[in-house]
Amino acid sequence: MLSALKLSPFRLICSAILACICLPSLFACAPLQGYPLDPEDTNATLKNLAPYFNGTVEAQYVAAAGDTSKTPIRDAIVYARIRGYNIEFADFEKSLYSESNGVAVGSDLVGLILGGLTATTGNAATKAALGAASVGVLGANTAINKDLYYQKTIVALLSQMEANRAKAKISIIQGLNLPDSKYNLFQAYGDLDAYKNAGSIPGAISVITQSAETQKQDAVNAMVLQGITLETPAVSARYDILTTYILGLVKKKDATTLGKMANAIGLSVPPGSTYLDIKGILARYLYVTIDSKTSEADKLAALNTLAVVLKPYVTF
Amino acid sequence: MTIVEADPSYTVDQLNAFVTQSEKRLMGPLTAIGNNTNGKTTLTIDERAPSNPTPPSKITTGQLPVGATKIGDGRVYISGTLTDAIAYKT
Repeated sequence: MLSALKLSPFRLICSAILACICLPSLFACAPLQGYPLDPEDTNATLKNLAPYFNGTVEAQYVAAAGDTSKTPIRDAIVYARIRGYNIEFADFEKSLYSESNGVAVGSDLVGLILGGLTATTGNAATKAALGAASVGVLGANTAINKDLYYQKTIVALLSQMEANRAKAKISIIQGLNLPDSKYNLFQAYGDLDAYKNAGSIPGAISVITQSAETQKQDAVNAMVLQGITLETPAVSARYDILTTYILGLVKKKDATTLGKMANAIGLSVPPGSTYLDIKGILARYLYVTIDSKTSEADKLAALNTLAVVLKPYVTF
Repeated sequence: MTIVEADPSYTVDQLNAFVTQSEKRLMGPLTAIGNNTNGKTTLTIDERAPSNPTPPSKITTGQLPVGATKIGDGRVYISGTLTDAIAYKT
């Protein structure tokens, strides 16, 4: 279509470069937010909440005497602080989400536009130049998309942060059901700190990591085979060679070679492990990496990989 | 110890084939049988033992064969039904 406008290759390339410069800023102005607009002026709200954070209202609490006077002030401070933390967390959440989506949208579109021009316009030289520009843009975006992990992970992190905050909030709400004499402001501050920190990325990562470790351990402890495997002779024979070799080392009580094999595979052997300990580690590993595969092709592939690593020890 | 889950639909013969395979692959003997809340038969294999038994361990829903050594007993799924069974070695 553009070729019909009879733009010279030079002008076309200049236009493309201009597009590279301008379009990202256009799209960057309107990233995919994923959140509705907030009619509240949260900056003003935070300003109004300042007395609950800077000690002004706390001084009133300290000066008050008895549950009847202290409890309502405590509650006001706690709720105000929760409100403040919620506003900050919402901002944090939005910025994380927007950063993971906004940049890619703009550069993807520019890349696609340039790619489209490359395919449809000009002579070979023009196409080559446009193609290079397109690669430049998409290349930059590829660098961003190396953070695809971030894009995908951020959703899990946000969910975990929400869960951590909800959990931390329970203690606070339970405390507020008690009179000040049983749950005073300074106890509440401790729970408020936990609530504030529950919305952090390190907190979320920590829980997710622990959960993954638990699941991993569960998987090792209860490995599931869905059916009796009718192993092909290729799998069965190779597996038998490997296990016979390992059992031969066990018979010789050769902890050194067993340990070297485990290390070659990438398994860590705790200091002081006996030859039987190491054999157990190897057996569990082989079971998980080979036997748990559902297809014979996958088992063969796993055996092939293992055969390369263990070649210095045994050929199978 | 490694706990292996077996399909509840197995017949006794299939379960025994599964026991043989599991002992061979984990290079250790069967030490216990049972079932779990997932509705599966469980086989506990000692992967730290010096070797898997030859001949392999067996499971029966009948009497312990003469001359066999009992490993343990438990309720396992046989053709989908929880059944009393004995694990043994010869």
